[in-house]
Amino acid sequence: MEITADMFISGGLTFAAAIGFGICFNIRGANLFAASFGAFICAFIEAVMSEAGSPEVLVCFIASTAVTVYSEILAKRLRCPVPMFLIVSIIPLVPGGYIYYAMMSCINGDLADFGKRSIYTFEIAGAIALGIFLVTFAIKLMKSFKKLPVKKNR
Amino acid sequence: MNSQELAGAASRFGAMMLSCGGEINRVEDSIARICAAYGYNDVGVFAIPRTLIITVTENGVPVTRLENIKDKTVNLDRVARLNALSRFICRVRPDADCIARRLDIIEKSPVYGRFAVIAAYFLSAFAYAMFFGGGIREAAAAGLAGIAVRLMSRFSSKTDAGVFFENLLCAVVMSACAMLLAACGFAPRYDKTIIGALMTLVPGVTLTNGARDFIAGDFFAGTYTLIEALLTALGIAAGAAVTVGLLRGLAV
Repeated sequence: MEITADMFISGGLTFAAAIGFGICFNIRGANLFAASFGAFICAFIEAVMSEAGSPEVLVCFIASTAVTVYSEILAKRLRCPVPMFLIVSIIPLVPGGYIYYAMMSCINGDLADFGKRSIYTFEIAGAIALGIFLVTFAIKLMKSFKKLPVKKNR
Repeated sequence: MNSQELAGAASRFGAMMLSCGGEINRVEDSIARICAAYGYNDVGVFAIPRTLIITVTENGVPVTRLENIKDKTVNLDRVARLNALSRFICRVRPDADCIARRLDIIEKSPVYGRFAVIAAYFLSAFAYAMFFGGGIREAAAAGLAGIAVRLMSRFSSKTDAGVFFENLLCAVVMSACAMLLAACGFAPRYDKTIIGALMTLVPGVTLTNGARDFIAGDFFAGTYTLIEALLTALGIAAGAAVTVGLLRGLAV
């Protein structure tokens, strides 16, 4: 498995699109580029893992986990709320294409295919949510460990 | 600061944060912290996306404020500023006038101009159409459909018809635009056009905030927001489906 230029192009297009989203959500200054870079990372991971042949649901889960970690780190560093970076970074994963093809099956009358695709869309959404859950929960755990009273050695 | 002033300041703060797309958990948490900073620990906060209720009790006398959030947008810069303000309030404990002034300043914080946002919609739709395999023409058509989405969403959010119908309307306009551009031969592969423009409508904000609220332990707010995301997606799918189904004959 090698890293091809295509992956960077995908990442670059996603970066550009993320700049657009960032403007819509009124992210300003350096935060705009930081958030858009998260989307680049997301698309890059997606491209690399798909090239390696991983199943799509796993790709979405791993990418979602990665961008959530990225967003949490950035939020701490730049002292901004996590969603500022997470929302824009997660959008590449949201299954727009699958929604469209599921809907096309529906209007073509192929209800079996529609059912299959709809369920698949939910699986993807679930994988994304699970990635966010996992990282957010891990961070919560870390924070609550820090709050535990520490026994001082005498 | 007495309970009246605090309730007023906190409810204004919370309403502002909710109307900018802040997560429910963040709003409730910030308000609780602000009240605690002034020594009021007997505080009740309840927030759902469009309603905020605060009760501050001083010497056994409760003061309650209820705010209805009418105009909801996503303004992440403002959320960040409000977040910074809550940290400032907890650290410095200023008086009510100071808080009011700072909230006024945040209310006037800069927003990208109309044309910048329209260009942004064009850019996102364009880039995603290419990302999903469309050519330059499909991407340009997607960009135009994206602009149509923006113009329509400004109108449909004023109708206050609910998330499903507002997004359905935007999806109809978007798909109609794409199908018309396909019909006149400019971008015949309307599926790529629509997928690209569709990405500008997908519920990224509600999905992210809903997931975060859910894992923060607030199952009610999390479920509410996730269902909002689901209804958004269904509205988009329904709107696009109906339009593509009806106009397919034109574009072939």
